[in-house]
Amino acid sequence: MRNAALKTVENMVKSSDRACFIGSDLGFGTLQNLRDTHPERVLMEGIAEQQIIGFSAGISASGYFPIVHTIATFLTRRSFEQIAMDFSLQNLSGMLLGAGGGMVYAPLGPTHQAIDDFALMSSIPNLKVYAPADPIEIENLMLQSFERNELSYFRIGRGGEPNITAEFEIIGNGAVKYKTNGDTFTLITTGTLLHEALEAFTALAESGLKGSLIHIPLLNHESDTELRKLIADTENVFVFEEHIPIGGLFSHLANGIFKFIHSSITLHFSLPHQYAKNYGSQSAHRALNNIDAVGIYNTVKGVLTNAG
Amino acid sequence: MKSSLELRKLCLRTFKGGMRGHLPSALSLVDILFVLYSDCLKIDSKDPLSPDRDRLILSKGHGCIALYSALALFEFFPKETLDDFCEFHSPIGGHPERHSLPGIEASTGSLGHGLAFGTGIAYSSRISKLDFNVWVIVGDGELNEGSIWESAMSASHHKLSNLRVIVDSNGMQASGETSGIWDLSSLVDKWSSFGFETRVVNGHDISELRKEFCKNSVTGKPICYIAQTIKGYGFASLENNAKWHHKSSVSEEEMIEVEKSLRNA
Repeated sequence: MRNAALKTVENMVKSSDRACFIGSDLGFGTLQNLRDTHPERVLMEGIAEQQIIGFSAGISASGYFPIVHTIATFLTRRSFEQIAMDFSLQNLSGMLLGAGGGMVYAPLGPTHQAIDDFALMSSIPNLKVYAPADPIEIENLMLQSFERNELSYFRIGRGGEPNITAEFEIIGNGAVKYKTNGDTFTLITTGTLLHEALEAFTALAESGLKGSLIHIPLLNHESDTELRKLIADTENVFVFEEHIPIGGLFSHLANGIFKFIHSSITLHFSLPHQYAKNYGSQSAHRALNNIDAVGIYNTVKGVLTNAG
Repeated sequence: MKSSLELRKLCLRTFKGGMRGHLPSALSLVDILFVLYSDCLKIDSKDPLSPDRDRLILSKGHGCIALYSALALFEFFPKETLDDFCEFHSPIGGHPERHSLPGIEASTGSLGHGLAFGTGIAYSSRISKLDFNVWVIVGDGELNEGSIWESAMSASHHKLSNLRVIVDSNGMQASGETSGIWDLSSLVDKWSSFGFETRVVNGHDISELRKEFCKNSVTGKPICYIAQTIKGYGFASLENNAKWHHKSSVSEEEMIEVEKSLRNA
């Protein structure tokens, strides 16, 4: 997905004189060709997140559209106040691309594990929080966000994700995606966890449990009405996210739609509200917290079997 | 004929509008702002968003009483607006907010933000090919913030010769003398070593400020002026008086004492 994001940046810079890219020491050779052809609008800055965010806000105040890219934890934690005060408070637009969303950098430890990025970014007014699931989706959402001149944050996954979102039905303006084969349950997720949820959803169907799968790549979407209709008749709603329990997808749903729906039993599964004590892989942490395909399958199966 | 004395009086008027604020932090800026708006800044109060205007960013946002008063003096908005300082519906509060009124270029208040913002605007002239300068005023206490030095490194690396930093070096911060909090001497050595063309100026000498501020960079580097100032300058009872750093309530007697202590020169 990161390659798709960088390719989209390249297309944006080449097709629009407004687009500027500001990276923070992203590694040898990153976007080097684009830097060679557009040296004034493609910058590789130092390891100084506060500076690059304030600098980018200044670029935005001058009429350009900055796209800032670095590791998600540094972007969202270190420069939180700059994003809030320099961008949001001043009504400035720009795009923040956070690499290593969720537990992608599990082996590098808690300093690099973006488990709270949704909560931090969601607390900032005027900022759209995106968690795409695959390369096609991130490209489309980045281009739409640019066209709408938004202030946005994108959680970027590991890379190598296959394209799966094209097979989903688009709800509203595209911020919600939907797939259904029955009405026994509804799974709701976001980001690359959709791949785990889809695998579980398929296995559940094969076992005779038919329901719906909802993917919400824009956490602060404006499709509450449509969402309410989708889950209104479902008794069992499961929310899975690769994030701490507060401030993420579930919190958005709780604020947006759950308070209006009283008939559903809603269960929420996430990472714990603590820094990880283990390294290993993203897959290992998903499995540990039962948010991998097997965990999702067993959870849904278990609840529905007991309920039945 | 506009004068810095008139600007100083307007600062007092603004303060009295809200009966609160960081008045001494504003007063150390008065002569600097007067010279900038009267002689240096290429900005038209009737066309304050012109793309090639010079920008002034008050990074030490708590000195905003001086900024509001200067903008009113130079006719960006009516002086009567100053009387509503910090009122519920007023466009001028205890820290400036971008474009809340003509001439206010940045929302500042949390220290250490304005210089980074200014480097981005200064850099943008390289893309737009527009010719303008960006002036950023920081406090000497504000130099405690690490982000200031991140910005200094970036400005130096990009050779932002259209960036001018003014350090309002009044030697005081909220808790007392800056040297007693963190001793940052020598500022000249520090800014020079960060790649700036550094000049020391008397921040209350109008003719010296006029002469120095109008000079372009001779080295192609960004410029830093260390402006030696006195906190509360112009009102004897406020000068270097740490108790007056910020006031949220003032008695009538205190106000009379301040007004009487105005130096008329």
